[in-house]
Amino acid sequence: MNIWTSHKTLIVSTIYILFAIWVGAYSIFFSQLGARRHDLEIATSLLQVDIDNIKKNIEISYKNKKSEPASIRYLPVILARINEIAHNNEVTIKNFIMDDSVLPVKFHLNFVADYFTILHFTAELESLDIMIDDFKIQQNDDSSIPPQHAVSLSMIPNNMADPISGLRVEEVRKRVFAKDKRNPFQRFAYYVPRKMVYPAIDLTETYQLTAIGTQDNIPYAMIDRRIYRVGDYVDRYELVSVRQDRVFLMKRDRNGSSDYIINQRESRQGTTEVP
Amino acid sequence: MGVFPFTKKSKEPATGDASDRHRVDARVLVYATSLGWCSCVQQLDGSLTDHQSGVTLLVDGGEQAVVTTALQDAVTANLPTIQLTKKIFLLLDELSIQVTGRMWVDGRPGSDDAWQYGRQWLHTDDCFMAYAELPPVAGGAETEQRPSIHAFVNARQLADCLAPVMQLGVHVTGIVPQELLLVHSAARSGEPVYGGLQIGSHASTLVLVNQPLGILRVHKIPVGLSTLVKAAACKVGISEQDASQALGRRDLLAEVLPIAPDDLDGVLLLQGRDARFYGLRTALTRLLEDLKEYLAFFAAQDGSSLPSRLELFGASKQVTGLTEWLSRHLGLPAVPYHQPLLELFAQMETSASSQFFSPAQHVRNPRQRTQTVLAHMTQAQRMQDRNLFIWLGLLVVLACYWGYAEYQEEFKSYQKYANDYLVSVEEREHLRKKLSAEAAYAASTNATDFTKFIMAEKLLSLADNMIKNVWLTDIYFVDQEKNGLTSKNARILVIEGNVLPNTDGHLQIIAEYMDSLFRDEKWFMSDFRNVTLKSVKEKNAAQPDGVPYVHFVLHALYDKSKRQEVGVATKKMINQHDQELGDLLNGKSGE
Repeated sequence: MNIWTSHKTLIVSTIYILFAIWVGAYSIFFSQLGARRHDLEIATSLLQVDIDNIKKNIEISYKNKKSEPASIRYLPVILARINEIAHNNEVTIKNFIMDDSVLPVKFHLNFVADYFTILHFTAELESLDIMIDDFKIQQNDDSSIPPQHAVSLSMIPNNMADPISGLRVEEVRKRVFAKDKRNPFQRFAYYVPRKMVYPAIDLTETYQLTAIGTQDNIPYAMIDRRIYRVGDYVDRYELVSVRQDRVFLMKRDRNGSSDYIINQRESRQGTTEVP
Repeated sequence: MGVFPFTKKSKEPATGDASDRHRVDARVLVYATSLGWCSCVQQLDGSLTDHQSGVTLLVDGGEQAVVTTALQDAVTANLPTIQLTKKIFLLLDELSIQVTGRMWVDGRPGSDDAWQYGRQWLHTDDCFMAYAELPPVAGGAETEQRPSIHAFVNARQLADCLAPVMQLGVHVTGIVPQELLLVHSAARSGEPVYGGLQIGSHASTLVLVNQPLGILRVHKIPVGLSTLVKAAACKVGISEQDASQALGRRDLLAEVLPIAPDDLDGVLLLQGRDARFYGLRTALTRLLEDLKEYLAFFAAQDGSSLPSRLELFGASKQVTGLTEWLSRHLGLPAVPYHQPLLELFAQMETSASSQFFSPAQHVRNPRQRTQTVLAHMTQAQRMQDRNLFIWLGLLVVLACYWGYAEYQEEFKSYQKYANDYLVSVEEREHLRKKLSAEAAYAASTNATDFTKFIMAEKLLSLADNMIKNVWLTDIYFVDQEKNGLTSKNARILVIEGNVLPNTDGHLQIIAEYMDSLFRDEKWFMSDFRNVTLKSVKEKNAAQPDGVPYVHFVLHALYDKSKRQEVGVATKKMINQHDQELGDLLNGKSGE
């Protein structure tokens, strides 16, 4: 009690100074350090999550690369993938034969389609881990536009026919989906009088151009006994130009635009057939 | 009391009361003896207020303990006022204060010589010194040395006495031995020859002053109130407390006669210097004889006339009949001092002619100041304070060390997290590089992608290199025949098509088409070794427009090794990458 009475100032001052030092030290050093540590803790945990994800991706990539091509592991998956491709391209597979008499297992299938369908179907099929062993395109109906072809092919799926990636596959895919490509199985029109080829598909045998004229200085063409002007549609073909003895048309589809031409039909003797 | 000692204290008191402000310049006067204490407050105008008094109960430890207790009680009772005024003066008549009327050659009272004399007299290293000087005689030279008395007290003894007061936070301004009051009273009396007797507890002090002759004599007689009380208690057989009360209530001295000079037993008792157990007669005779002897000495030695009366101070009122007894047997009229002592005390001022015991001003050099301040504290107090300082220092050190240790722990934790973070960043960067490399390899050098024969690629190439005169009809694979045998390992892509007429000729068109295929190293010839023309035939019957055309057949010789040879270097690169990847996944990353 006496000590407290005689040294109250000293004791209280010492306690106050200690408290002030503690508060100052806590606010200047301790709290800031704690906040930085907390930030580091969060940043490290986030980094660790990212690291785990990267490791998983690397491991998956590694396992994928290390897995050896082997026989089919689960057929339904492969069939489902082939079916999906056929469905996407509206291809009706007429025959599908599995040849497991020798390894590797082969599948033989055939269908009828035009060139662009064949191209899309083949490209999508080859974007899987499938090797096309045999391939055959034969004329089926060259009178139709575009021409229809009978396709038969043999393929050897690896593993589960998983999708593959790579620069070539990607570039092929881009080229397949590029517009305004030529159908190499489609014959262009031949203009007999001038003995030259127009880079357009000949519809002369499909439609009959019976007359060409002008009305109020606007050219028109009579096709299959109906009058069309520029901009009109003949079925799915847009009339784009009317010349003296022929008309040009254009059709747009998923492969871009294609040019068409309708000439006046000539008689077998070389004269123009006038109805 | 301010909480922070370093904050500037306000000149004005905290309370704004006018009386409190007035008290700031007042001073507290305390008179403490072994019999009790009394106190008052001297205001600025000199008036005395707040009179208080108390009786000290007997305590163990002797006279000093009693005085110390009385002083502590008095200070405690006046503590609020003392804290306000900051000035307290004590009047003491105990504590073995030694008084002398000696004069020193170096002149002024309070000199170093006097202080050295006091130290030697008290056999101590340090002592407090107080003195009082007679005022100058009218018509005398100002520089003339005037008679004075000096009082000395052991510094340690006084510090022990003041220790309880200091523990209350009170610093005594000045301490006045009661003997100095007698000199002051002599100066005020106006009598040329003055005699005063201070009766203390254990001793009495006789002061004789002849102002015209400049004579001041002080004589201490070892008979005090306590001597009389103990003698009475012993004689009657009662306690000292009862004896003290009896001496105050009844005149026990009326029938006491001094011992006659022819009473040999009585004379022997007086020479034995211990009258404690032999009744009041012996003690009173000792007092009386000493007074007579010194008065005779004063008259004979100094050639002074005797004072006309003897003023009594101190405990004379506590012994009923003492004044009359002394008057009757001394031959001089003894009269008690007519004013309360505190009033006389209040009239004393510190000046060149008088000096109190002043603990705060008891300084002769810095070293001595230190010693004096230390001397103010008892050994126990010093030990107590030392322990307090040690504990406080220890507390500060421990608190700082604890804070430092906590900070170190936090810092280590921070360093660990920082290190983990840096390691994670480095690991992530390393893995990201690996993943990027893996993705690049997977994109550019996928084994399946690189070595695979892609039929769609060939169809696109055949279309891209197509000439407008040409269209295809059939595409298919056949096995190559060598020497009439079919080889499964050598396959041929058969390309059948037609050519419309041209002015340059059919073969030219076919040649241009073949040339285009040859030049398409990237997409067509990457899998074929050669393209040859197998046949050209004219056909026109099937065409509806009747335009003649020719049918051609091209053979493209498939070469499986062509792509693989090109990819050997790439394959090695892939294997190396796979090896690195395997090491990484097996925990050998960064090594």
